[in-house]
Amino acid sequence: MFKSKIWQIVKYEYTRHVFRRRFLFSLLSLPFAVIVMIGATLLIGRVSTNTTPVGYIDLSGALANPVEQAPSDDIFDPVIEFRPYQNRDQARADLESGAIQAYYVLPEDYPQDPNTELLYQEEPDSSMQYQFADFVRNTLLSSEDVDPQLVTRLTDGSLITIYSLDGSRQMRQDQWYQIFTPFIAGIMFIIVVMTSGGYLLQAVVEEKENRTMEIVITSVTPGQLMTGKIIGDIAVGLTQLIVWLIFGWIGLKVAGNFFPFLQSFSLPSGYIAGILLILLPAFVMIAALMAAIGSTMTEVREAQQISGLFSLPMTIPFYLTSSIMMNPNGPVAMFFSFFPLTSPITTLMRMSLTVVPTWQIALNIGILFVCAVFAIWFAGRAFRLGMLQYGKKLSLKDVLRKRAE
Amino acid sequence: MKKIWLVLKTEFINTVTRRSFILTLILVPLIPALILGGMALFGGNDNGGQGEITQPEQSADVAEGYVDQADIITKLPDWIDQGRLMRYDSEDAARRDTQSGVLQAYYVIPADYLETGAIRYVRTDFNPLTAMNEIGIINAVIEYNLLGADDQRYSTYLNPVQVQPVDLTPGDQGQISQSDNPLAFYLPYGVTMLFYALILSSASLMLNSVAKEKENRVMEILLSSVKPTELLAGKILGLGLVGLLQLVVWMGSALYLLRIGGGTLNIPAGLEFPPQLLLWGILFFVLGYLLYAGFMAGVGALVPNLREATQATTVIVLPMIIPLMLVGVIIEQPSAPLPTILSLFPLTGPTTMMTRLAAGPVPLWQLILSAGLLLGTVILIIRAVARMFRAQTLLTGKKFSLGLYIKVLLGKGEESLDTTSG
Repeated sequence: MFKSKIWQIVKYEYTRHVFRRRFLFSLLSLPFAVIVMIGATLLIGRVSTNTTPVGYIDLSGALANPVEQAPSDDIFDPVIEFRPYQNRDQARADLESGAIQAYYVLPEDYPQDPNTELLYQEEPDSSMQYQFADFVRNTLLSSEDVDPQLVTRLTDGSLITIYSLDGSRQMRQDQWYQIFTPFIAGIMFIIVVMTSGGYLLQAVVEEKENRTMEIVITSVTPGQLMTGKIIGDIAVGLTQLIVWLIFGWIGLKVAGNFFPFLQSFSLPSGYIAGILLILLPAFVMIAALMAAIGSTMTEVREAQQISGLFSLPMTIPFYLTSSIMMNPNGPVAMFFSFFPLTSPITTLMRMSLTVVPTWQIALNIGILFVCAVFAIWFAGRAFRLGMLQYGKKLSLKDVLRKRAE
Repeated sequence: MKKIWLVLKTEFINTVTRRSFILTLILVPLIPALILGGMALFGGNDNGGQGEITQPEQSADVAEGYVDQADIITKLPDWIDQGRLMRYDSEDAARRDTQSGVLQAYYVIPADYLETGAIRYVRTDFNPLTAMNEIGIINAVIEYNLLGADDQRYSTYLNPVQVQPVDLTPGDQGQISQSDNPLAFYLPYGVTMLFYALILSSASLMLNSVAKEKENRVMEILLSSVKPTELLAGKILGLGLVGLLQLVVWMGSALYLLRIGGGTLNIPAGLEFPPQLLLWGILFFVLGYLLYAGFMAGVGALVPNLREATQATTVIVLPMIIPLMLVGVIIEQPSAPLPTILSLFPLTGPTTMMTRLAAGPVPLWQLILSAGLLLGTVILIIRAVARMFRAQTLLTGKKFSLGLYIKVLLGKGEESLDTTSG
């Protein structure tokens, strides 16, 4: 009996929001925005890269046996052909006719005198200049009689894996995206929490406004109603999250074809578990707080303004990124990771950057759990008191002071 | 005229005295102020962390060890500070010194380094972000030694060519690059965000005001004594003034914060806002505001209640968001075809043009053309919306849809509104 009523409320709340056009809109708008942004960036990167060949005149003979340029696997950095020229007049003529975008002149005693002229009509972009430097470097190395293994090592560079002292954490240099995971997770968390919390808030105020609440409350207890609404709200949020994750996963697979480093994308599972353990109670807490606000306010618009104030403390860690990042175990980071509203994002950031002592993570999760339970209790109480007071806003004092019933 | 003034006064006073307005007005500058304050307060304990992110090269008080099992490092280059990198013969010794705090971290170069390139880097605090800054040193040392510890060869390897650029363009010489100025980096972002927030917030004030009055039927009473166009003009001017007030307060506090917080953020003292940017900024703000306020007033006139307006505004605001999403691209290449098109297209023009102006010089003809196009659009929109501001439109309770909006805007709305009025 008890279960089935909560279940009905959950189902009602869920279907009511998820099968609305507005929800679909907000669900698709984020992936759409990301796709448009990436597409535009790719397009512009592609269009703006000048792949016209570049000439060089080698007066020293150091580049007598040029190495072949390896084909590039980065579509942002297409290989530019480097053409040898014998004299300046010919190169100049080709530059003016547009056959080459620029040309270098290497001095007679080249490796000793590195001053090289670069002649152009429109300044070539820096990626071309890097390519030329690479080209010269490789040619010089191959012409000197050096162990080929050494040359490969020099060109490929080293691959550093970072370990924590106790060995519990490790990250390879090319897995830098792990650093950004807390940011993306944090932003997604805030969006999901705020949108689904907004729905909940609106639903409560609306039902209160049009007095549906009074009818509903004749057959369920306020506690059941609140629990059902909160669970429904969380389900809506999770739906949103899952859809986005699926989009993200597809996106990664597609992007992996263009950017090879993405193919090895992986996150340690302990890390993911930590993220979930922190975000879930935080989500419950905020949903309950939203419900509480909804039941003390009399107008939708007013309630939305107040709820906006919540997103403010939640985003504080983003503003303080630099000081949290540089010193993940410093006083600022510690303080914000214990304060319930800022703790989800702060803790995520700290976890990705350093070894957070286990007791601190446990304490964070504990605080969030307690706050979540308290918020649910608070919401139920605010609801009971607020429902009967039409036209009058409940103050925080009222909710806390008066003994209900 | 007098009635316009009355409407203007009411709108202005009503909005400005609203609690939420005062809150945003104060809170927005307060956040950066608090952050600045916090940084100044905690900065002392932060190990001077702020500077580190801009200077990744050898930080003085860092000491790291290395265990070279591959026998690659024969000599440390001269430019490495004394005590920055210390040689250890066994990993245990390095680990012990790291635990006791003598070292912050140590590297292990395994015996098969030449084949695999793998290096282990063990840090007390793990922090990958700082790690990325520090590994430059060990990489340099290894490259130096792979090249036979020869300074000449190493410097040739690092910078194979010392480029002496020669511009062969006939006629004028290119602009001097401004990239040395740290302001040049942040300014375009700041200007874009500010512009976006300002235009949007003042335009949505318009939507709120119209939709609310329509919803609670104040409009019906108002229209009995004021002409619809007078009402629209009064609202646009009144709320425009509110926007300007916001602009002045935010800009003023931003300048003030920059002055007092300059030390914390390492901003040079002689920082000035380019006056030309300010002038064009005001022009494009006024035009952009008029355009979007016009659009929003139109939406407000059509929606039956405020809640339905949200969906409509998303569509209208979309062109404003495009430059915001592409801001990186626009700043990178302010004169590429896409930014140019975006800055000429009236709907995206105001924001894009400001970003471009902040990022670099924009040809005068483009500025004038963009402003001209914008002005033309504004006139068209305001006239269309004024037509919309009629009892017939304002009093209908028809459900809002984008199609209807466009139809009414184009002046074909009569039929679509009439057929459903019954």
